[in-house]
Amino acid sequence: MNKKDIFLVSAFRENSVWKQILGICSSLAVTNLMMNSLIMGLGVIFALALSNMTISLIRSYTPRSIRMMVQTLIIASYVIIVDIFLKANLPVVSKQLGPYVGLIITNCILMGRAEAFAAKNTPIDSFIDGIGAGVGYTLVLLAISFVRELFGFGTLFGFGIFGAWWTKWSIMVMAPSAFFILAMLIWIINNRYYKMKG
Amino acid sequence: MSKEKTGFRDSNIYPVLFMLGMSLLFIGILATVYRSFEQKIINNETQAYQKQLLSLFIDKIAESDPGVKIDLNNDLQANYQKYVKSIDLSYAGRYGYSIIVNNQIIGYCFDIMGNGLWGSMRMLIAVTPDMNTIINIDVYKQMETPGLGARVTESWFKDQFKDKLLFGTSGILDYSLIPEDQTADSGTQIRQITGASITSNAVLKMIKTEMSQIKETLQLQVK
Repeated sequence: MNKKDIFLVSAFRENSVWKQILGICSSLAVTNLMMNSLIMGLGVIFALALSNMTISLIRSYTPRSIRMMVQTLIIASYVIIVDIFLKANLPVVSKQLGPYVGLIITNCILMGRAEAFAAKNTPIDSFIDGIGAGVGYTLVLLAISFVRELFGFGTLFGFGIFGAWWTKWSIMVMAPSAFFILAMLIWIINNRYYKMKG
Repeated sequence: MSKEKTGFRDSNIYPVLFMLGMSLLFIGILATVYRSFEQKIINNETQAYQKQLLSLFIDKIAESDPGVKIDLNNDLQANYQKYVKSIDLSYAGRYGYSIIVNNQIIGYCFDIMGNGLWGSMRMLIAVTPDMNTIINIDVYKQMETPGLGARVTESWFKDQFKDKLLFGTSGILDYSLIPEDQTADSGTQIRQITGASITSNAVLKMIKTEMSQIKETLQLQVK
């Protein structure tokens, strides 16, 4: 597989959210505003790409019996770096995202990519795979938050789209709306995918 | 040589040493990253705190000093230094501030703490100079359940304490909770947060115990 294929497979064909149903918790939690989703996505891309690369770099030295502990340690370290960076440079966003940045550590996508890809492939390939999986995750977050922010607040990235006449749908601001939107998104994509296959 | 190496890798001590080494390495990296951003994080937190404190008094300051328009986003530091002075409470972990406009104290603000459902809560409470009436409150640190107890930070809940009498003739008043969908009278009733009676009670308890303690401390200091 060449580098482009690695990216395309992990971002789209084997997308972590819509194909593997991983990382659902945070997809529901931080998608009420597009800005939050974007920053969360960038945090995941950073942590995922670098942790994948680091895990791959030390893969031949890591004892099998403790590999998951080592992976968690590496993932947690990168996530804490993201958290510190946000607290220092984007305190408002950091407060809005609250505990969810720290919870990237428990995001199954990171552990999944570490086990499924980084532990068996070269550092560069793992880095690209991490970027791909992160981009795939970010796209899903942005798609959900697009609908939620537009109907829930009448804005996109904070810019007013609908005027004052718009009645805000409070269901869109609350977490349950993400359930419906994510389900519909998975349904549409799977439907198209299977149709194409057929 | 290679045989020896494989032998060591197969030994029981290798995973322990490997994990120890990795832990030390990553702790070192994290410590360095944190150190380099530490001052910036502290500055951000101080600014957010000062902004919250001043915003509790923004109407009172405008009343006492007409013509002054406070912009909390631009001149935060200058305004904070101009109006706010720390007072010594000699009371573990609690802070007090007096708000002074034109050499006159227009109110006090106390940084008090108490236990919520999941962890400690910290709150700023602004009171009039005689300490008998609450001007405003703001819960600035809490670990309550999002969507339930965490609603203590919502304005409908905080605004209920505006202009509430805190001390009556016979000491501190007891506030009572009523269901969220009812209308509170102007006396001691507070609408509680539905599904979070422990948090609602914790706020009332915190105000009661901390404020009576603070008033006592300050009165002793005056004597």
